[in-house]
This record gives sequence, C-alpha cells and structure tokens, in this order.
Amino acid sequence: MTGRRADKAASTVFWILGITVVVILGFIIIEIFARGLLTALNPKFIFGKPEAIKGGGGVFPMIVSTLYLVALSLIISLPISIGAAIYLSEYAKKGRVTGFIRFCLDTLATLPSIVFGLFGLALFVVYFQWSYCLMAGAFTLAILNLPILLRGTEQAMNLVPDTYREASMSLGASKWTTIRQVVVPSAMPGIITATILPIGRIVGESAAIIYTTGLFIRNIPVNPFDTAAPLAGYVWYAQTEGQGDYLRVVTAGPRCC
Amino acid sequence: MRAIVTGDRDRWVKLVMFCCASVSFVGVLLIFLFIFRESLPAITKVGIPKLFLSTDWRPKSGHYGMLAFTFGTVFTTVVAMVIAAPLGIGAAVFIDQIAPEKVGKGVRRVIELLAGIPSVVIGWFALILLVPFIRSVTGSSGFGMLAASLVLVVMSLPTITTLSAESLRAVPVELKEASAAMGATRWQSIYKIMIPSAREGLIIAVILGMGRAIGETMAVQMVIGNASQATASLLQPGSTLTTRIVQDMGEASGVFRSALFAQALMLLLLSVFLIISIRLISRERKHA
Amino acid sequence: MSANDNKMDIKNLSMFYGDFKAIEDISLDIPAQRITALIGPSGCGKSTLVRCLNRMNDLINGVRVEGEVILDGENMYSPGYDTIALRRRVGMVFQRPNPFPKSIYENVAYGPKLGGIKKKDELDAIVEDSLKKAALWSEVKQNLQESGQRLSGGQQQRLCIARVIAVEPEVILFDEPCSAIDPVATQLIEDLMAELKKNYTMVIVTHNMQQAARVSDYTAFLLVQEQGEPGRLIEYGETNTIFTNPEDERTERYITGRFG
Repeated sequence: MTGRRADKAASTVFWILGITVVVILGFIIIEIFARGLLTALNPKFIFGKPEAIKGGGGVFPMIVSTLYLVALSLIISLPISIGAAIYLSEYAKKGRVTGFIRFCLDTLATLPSIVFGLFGLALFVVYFQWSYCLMAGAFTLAILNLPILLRGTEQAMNLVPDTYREASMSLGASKWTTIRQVVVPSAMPGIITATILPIGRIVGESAAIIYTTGLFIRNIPVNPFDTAAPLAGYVWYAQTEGQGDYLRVVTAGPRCC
Repeated sequence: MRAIVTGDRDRWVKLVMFCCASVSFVGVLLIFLFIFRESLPAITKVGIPKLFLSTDWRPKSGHYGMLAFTFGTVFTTVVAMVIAAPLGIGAAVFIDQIAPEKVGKGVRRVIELLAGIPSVVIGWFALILLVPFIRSVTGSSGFGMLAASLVLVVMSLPTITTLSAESLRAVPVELKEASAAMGATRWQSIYKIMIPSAREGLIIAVILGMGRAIGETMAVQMVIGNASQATASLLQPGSTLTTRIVQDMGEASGVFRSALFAQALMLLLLSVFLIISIRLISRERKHA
Repeated sequence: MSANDNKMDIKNLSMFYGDFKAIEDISLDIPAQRITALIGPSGCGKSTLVRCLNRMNDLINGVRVEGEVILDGENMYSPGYDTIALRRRVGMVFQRPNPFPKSIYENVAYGPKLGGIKKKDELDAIVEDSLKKAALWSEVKQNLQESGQRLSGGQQQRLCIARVIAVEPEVILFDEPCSAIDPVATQLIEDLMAELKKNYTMVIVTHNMQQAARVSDYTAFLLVQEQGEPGRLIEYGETNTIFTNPEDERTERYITGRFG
C-alpha cells in the first residue's frame, strides 16, 4: 500500500511544515511584543519629545507625524482610487487600454518602496521645492498605495449586485446618478475595509518616507509642509545611530488584523 | 416632454474617472522619468558598461560599478526563494487541504499578522536575535548574506503563502472529487491534480514573492553588513541594490548620488521584468 | 379596438445580441389601461421583448434593434430619443425583488428625488401615496426608516411596485413578478394589479398560464419554433378567446399543457 503510506508520510510532513511556520512566525511576533511592550506603555515615552544626541526620550512628535501622514495620504488617495475603481468597474471595456492600465498598476505594486522614496525625493522635495515635509510623503505614499487601495475598492464595487443598477436605471436615473446614489453607497462598507491595508502600509513604511518626509524632529508638525518624522522612519534612524530604547511595539500596535 | 440631455454629463463623468484611472499610468511614467533624469549624470559621466557591469565600487575615487550589488540582490533573492518557495507553497497546501478549518484559519491569521509587521521591526528583531545566533553557530560576525536571505524568507513568506493558497482554492472542487472518486489518496490528489492545476498561480505567487524580496530595504540593510564587494559566500557581508542606496544616500552628492539613482533605475527595470514574466506566463495559460 | 386606444404599438420589432437574433418581426398592440400578458415556454423571448419596451436592453453591449415601438405616437427607438425620460414613463418591476440597501422610505423616494422633488412634505406625501397604492402602507407605516431588504419577498416586491408608482409612470412592465414569491403573496400582487389597471397600462410577462388567464385582458403567445431560431409572435388576442378558443394549433398545445 505505498499509496496510503505516502499519504500518511505526506500528511506528517505537511503538519510539521505548518507547525514550523507557525512556531517561527509566532515566536517572532511574541518576541517583538514582549520586548517592546513595557517601554511602549510608558507615558513619558508616548508623550515626550526625543533626545537629540543621547538617544531615547519620547516619541510623541513621531506618533503625531505618523497619524498626520496617514490622514493626509488617505485624503489624497481615496478620491483617486474610488474614481479609478468607478472607471474600471462601471465604464471600462475589456481592451488594450484597460489591460495597459492594469499593467501599470501591477508595476506600481511590485516596485520597491525605496524607488518610490527616491522618486518622491526627486519630484516633490527637489523639483517642486517642497523640501522634506508631510505633503511630499503623503503624495509619494498615495501613489505607492494606489494598486492596493484600488484592488479593494474595485472589488467592493464589483460585489454590488447588477440588479441594483438595473432597478435604478429603470426608474429613469442616469448612469452617473446610479453610480453616485446606489453603487458607491452600497459599496461603502467594502471600501472602508479596503483602507485597512493601505493604512497599515503607511504606518510601517520607512524607505519611502525617509527621503520625503524627514527623519528627526523635536516639535510636533502642524503645517502639512512641515518636516515630520513618522515612527517607522525614526525607528530605523534611531537604530542606525546606535541609540537606546526601541519602540517596536508602538509600531506593532496600529496594525490591522 | 422635456428633453433632458444627460448624455453629455455621462461623457464628462467617464472622462474624469478615466483620468483617475490613468493616474496609474502617469505615476509609472513620472517615476521612470524622474529616476532616469537623476541617473543621467552618472550614465553619461561613467558610461553604461562601467556603471551597470562593473563591480568596482569606490565612490571616493569616482568608481561606481553596481554589479556587485545587482549580484547581491539576485543572490539573496535566489537563496531566499529556495527556502521560501517550498515553505510557502507547503504552508499553503497545509492551510487549504490538510489542516482542519479552524487550524487553517489560525495559521492564516498568524501569516496575515506577520505581513503587517513593518520592515524595520523585522530588521531590528533579526539584528538582536538572528545575527547573534548565526555568530554563535558559525563563528562569523553574524552579519552577511545568510542573515539577509533569512530575513527575506520571513518577509516574502506571507506573500507566497497567501497567493498560493488563493491559487489552490481556485482549483475547481470537481477535479479533486473526480480524483478521490477514482480511489486516489489525499496526497495523490494534491500532488497529481491540484498542484499541476494551480501551477501558473503558484509560479506567479513565487515571482511576486521574489518581487517583495528584491524590493526589501530596511530589514536587509540592518543585517547584511553593508560591504561593497561582491560575495557568494553566505557568511560574508555584502550589499544589495536597495541596501546600498539606503546606506550611502545620506552623504552622497553629485555623480555619487546620481549613481545611486541609477541603482534605483536598475530596480525599476527588474520590477518591470518580473511583471512582464507574469504576463507571459498568464498568456501561455490562456493559449494552453 | 381602434388604434387610438393603444398606449403602445409594437411594429415589426426584432432584436439582436450581436449576430444572434433573439426575437423576430413582432407586431403587437398594447391597449391603454389594460393588462396585456406575454406567455410562452422558457426562452421564447418574452423577457427580451418586454425589456425592449423601456429600452433596458440598451444596457447590454452589442444589442441591436430593428422595427419600431411607438409610445403615444412617437417611436421610442428614433435617434436622439430621451431614454431617461422614457424610463420615467415606462416603469419596470423585476423578476427578483430588488429593493436598494436603503430604508423603505428612501427606496420609494428615490425616483421622485431624481425628478427634482426636494421638499420633505412633498416627498412624504408621495411615499405614503405610493405605498398605499401598492397595498403596503399599513404594514410598513411604522417602520419607514427600516431597511427595505428586511421585508419578506412578497413585501419587497410590493415595495418595488411602490417605487415604480412613485415616479408616476404611464406604463408598468412586469417581468415574471411572482416567480420568486410564495403563492399567498402572489395572490396579493395579482389583486393589486387588478386595482392598478384603473390608472396604468400594464404588460406582464409570465410563465404561469393560470395567472395570465386570471389577470390579463389581452394575451400574446410567443414561441421559438426550433433551437437557434428567434422568438416569434404566434397569436394575440383577448385573453378569453386565447384560452378558450385559440386559432393557432401551437397556441392550443401550449395552453393545454402538451409542451412547455
């Protein structure tokens, strides 16, 4: 019965595989939480300002930077993504143009984040002369997140049953009215869920923002054109400069799941 | 009867939406244009052969050959895939076929969680745990290509696993049922029917995992040692295209800076190459 | 039946999906304020035909129409004809109830709002009036803000009827309105249709012959002769005549259940 023995063997192998993967990954996750948790929950840490040379200190400006960046970036990418999703799901026909757009989206999706960072540097920081600021980072991240956000948004719209569109049009609504008053509102829950992944991406992204937003600041950024230091970038910067206190868990915190 | 001309409004709306969709095209174009523009000084001053095909990287004396780093990228990625591909596909098979539903869900959760961890966090973790571990086991510094490859395994695993699981799920249930009805064991059904059916999807999953690995910057930079020679030895430090950029960009100016942009250009070309490969594979499937 | 009594005249209508001809050369009168039923076996083109009457088939790619459909003296397929206004005059109730994922109130108010009515009292009045006409008001008047999708199948369909009525159409098309609904609810809707006849012209597609016999004034029988052929009009006349003394042999066979 080699068939049955092979099946048993295979099952065992796969169980070992599965367990190994879980153990390794679980270990990583637990370690990260365990090591950072105490520091992360210290109020001085969360609300204090960072020490410039000594290292350590608080990360409040960084947290503010990150939140600010998330908000700005979403304000930029949501309308564009919804618009593009509307085009792809309601208007586009299968053809070369649509295929080409998807090719561009795939390319954007695989591009290394540091390429986005350098691009943002070249275009927003230098060419537009915005200098290191939140806006530069927000725009860069908006382009970076476009494929991700678009995928979720488009899916949400495709899930809206055709029968709603038919009902609306049979009542004498134009296509745009139908989209605006029936399709998009129906897809809203799905669209909101679709923003979770991009938000996670923005919070964790370092390579794309260190060249666009900034690395170290002492004060809270207020104006979108202020320099800022989002958490992930700061973590890398602090580590490279060899400073103490790590804030892993604070970065681990705002993660979806 | 009122004649409402709504046709015009619809056409205008379609145009606006199309513009939104073409942000994708405009984005890619701008990225290519600006990266190219910034690399131009290096390309013209150093010349394409010396820039892309030389391993001589001594910026202080005007030598900007990036081949060592291109090799570093390829090497670490290949090593990582050798480990991550079977692991990822195996995990996918496990989740989709072998594990009971609750266990499968649990494993999927863990992997999703991992996917959300920022690069710097994984990098730091590797720094304080993986590097000392390698050091104690091998006697080397701990920094180097091995550490880098292992980090890449961790970072690309979620991508490979998730996409592979999706491909397996897309195989019609009828195929598996037909196989079972002929008396095949579960493993035989998986091995002979499901995996071959999902083959294109699995290959694409691995390619996208490669894309992830190629583009990974921070985590790798923390553990790779950042040396500028090409090395095929796992225990020696080295650099990849991405880590070199992030390592040197801070102090670079002029042609040096431009050479780093040229490396970004190289990365851009690699990504496009991957996407084209995926398209070709998908097209082949349609004709098959 | 003089031509002046017709709300709609269908003249030599054919419809193509690309190269495939779905229905061929159909000519039919739709008398005003009467119910005309379209019957026939599955696939004979009755749904296709009824969807031509409010140009809903336009929404499908590659559809082409030959012939005319005259509404109040004007051919709705003439170039430049306002399809949006058309659909306000010719409403449709679908096979599966499809209320929007909005409140009952918003469902019914959707159409009037499109027409530019904004004042709350006006909308309130229209919503109440439409729901009354659809025999649904007493059941939902306490819960107008609840989601329309929480209603039972029969109630949802009446909600859809109310939604159409709110637009004040002249013609209402029903595409197998009761096929997804239980018999008790079906009876309610049939009674409703008899009431609505007083103010609206109605066309109903049904595969249920008894329903056609019960409800309609005129009946048209369509048939696809052989696989691959388009649907054609075999016979048309007063319902009583069709069901008791049909002229065509094929009609008779269908009515007596020998096929279909």
